[in-house]
Amino acid sequence: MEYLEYSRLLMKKLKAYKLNWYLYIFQNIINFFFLYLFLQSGIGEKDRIIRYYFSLSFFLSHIIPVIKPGFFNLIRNGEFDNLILMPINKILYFSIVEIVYPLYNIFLTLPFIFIFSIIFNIPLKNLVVLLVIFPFSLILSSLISILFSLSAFWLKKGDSLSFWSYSLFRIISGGIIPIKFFPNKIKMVLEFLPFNYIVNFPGEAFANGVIDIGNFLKLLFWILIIFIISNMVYNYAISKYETAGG
Amino acid sequence: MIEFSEVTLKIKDKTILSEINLSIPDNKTIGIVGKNGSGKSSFLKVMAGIIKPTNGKVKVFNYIPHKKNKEFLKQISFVNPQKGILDYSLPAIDFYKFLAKVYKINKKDFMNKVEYFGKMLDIKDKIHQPVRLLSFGERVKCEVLAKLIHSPKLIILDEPFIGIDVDSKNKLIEFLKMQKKERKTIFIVTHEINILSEIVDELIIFDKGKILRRFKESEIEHFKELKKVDYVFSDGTTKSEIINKFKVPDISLKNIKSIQINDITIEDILRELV
Repeated sequence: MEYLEYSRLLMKKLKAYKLNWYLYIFQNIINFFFLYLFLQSGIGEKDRIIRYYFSLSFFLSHIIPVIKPGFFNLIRNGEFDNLILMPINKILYFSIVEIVYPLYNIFLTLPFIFIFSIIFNIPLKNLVVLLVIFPFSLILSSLISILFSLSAFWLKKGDSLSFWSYSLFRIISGGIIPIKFFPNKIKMVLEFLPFNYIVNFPGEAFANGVIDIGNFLKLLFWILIIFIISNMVYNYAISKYETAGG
Repeated sequence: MIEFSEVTLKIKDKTILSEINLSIPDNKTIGIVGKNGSGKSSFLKVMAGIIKPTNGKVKVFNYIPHKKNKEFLKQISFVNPQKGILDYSLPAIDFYKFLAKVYKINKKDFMNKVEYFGKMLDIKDKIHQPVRLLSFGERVKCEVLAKLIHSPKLIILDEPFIGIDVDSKNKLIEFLKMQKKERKTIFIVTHEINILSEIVDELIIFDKGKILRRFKESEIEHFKELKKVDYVFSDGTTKSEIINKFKVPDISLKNIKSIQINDITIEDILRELV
């Protein structure tokens, strides 16, 4: 229940940032239109590609994992001390932050999603498929973000690391081009990694309108594995924690 | 019972705490003082379990703090207003509701506590305003309420009086006295001798990571009877001495330009000891 209460708290806080989010949507819409014009010039699988990028623009590009510079600040300035003493699972606590932000933002985007679904003739079935997978991809993404952000316990600064990790994670999750367009050997590796299940798998499922049950189970498997690893890394990190001040 | 046995803390080869041995029974209020970097905050963080000591054993209510057992965490509170827990963009009451869920406080108890503590600290209305709109003193009191909402047995306060006005300070002192009456174990870092003499049962002086000296309640009371006299001589040199407030300063000294008599501070006592 405490996690639900914390979600409600974050939702309330986020109301203040609505305008930023609408500007962000506007930027994505422009990108999407350029892509549409490009595809109109005649590349195969037009509809599927359009759907893939539709899901990327409105949903999946916002959940690509990233190392959080804020996490570094929290540890460096000693505010993390407060959290250490709260009798809660810290990985779940941080996950809530990572999950609630995109969820709230996507809620704000819903009217645009429906308008553009009509413009691009996107079948309702495909939207349903995406909405089923999306929450799980979001959970996996938040856990990966936290796992990599735990590097803050060992590293001094996270800004450049954040930038580079985002660029890398964007590519290997299919956030720039679908993984199927990569060379075969790289494709095999990328399809195995958990990043595949954050963008590429839900994007392809949305494009095709079908959920591959095998891949869906792999997504759940990765959630469990990353959660366990994150907890282990956190417990190790906290035993070596040297707080600020004192 | 709080027990430190041969506790040493080293961070990057620097010794922060050195072989601390200490045993404090429950329900005591302990004042901690020391110069900056003397290890007092680290001592509190080791006690709370935020940092694991390099060597030695710490036991608090029979728990090993750094293992962070959930039951142990529910019994302690670490208040450091300089590093607050509240979210500035939200009213404190929203965060209290979250904490009530974390500590499994039922709604009725929670409402009673917020009402009672809010009244005691004079922040009943303030907790409904976004924290960023509050003054520093009000924010500190809201932080204290947040940290004590789960009725911890051990309350650790790291410099809670810095930067707050006299009124807020008095409210906090009254609040701590009430906590003391409720038989809580309290550790407080402050340099304010009047506060220490009002609420602590024992004073521990830290220096260079070691316990330099421990004062009992009666000895702390004695501090209130001391005054500091600063002499300035006509050749520009100065001299300070600590005397009983009923004693007259030594005006027989030659070439005195001025004499200033002040209340004694913890810094004066530390200067005498270290």
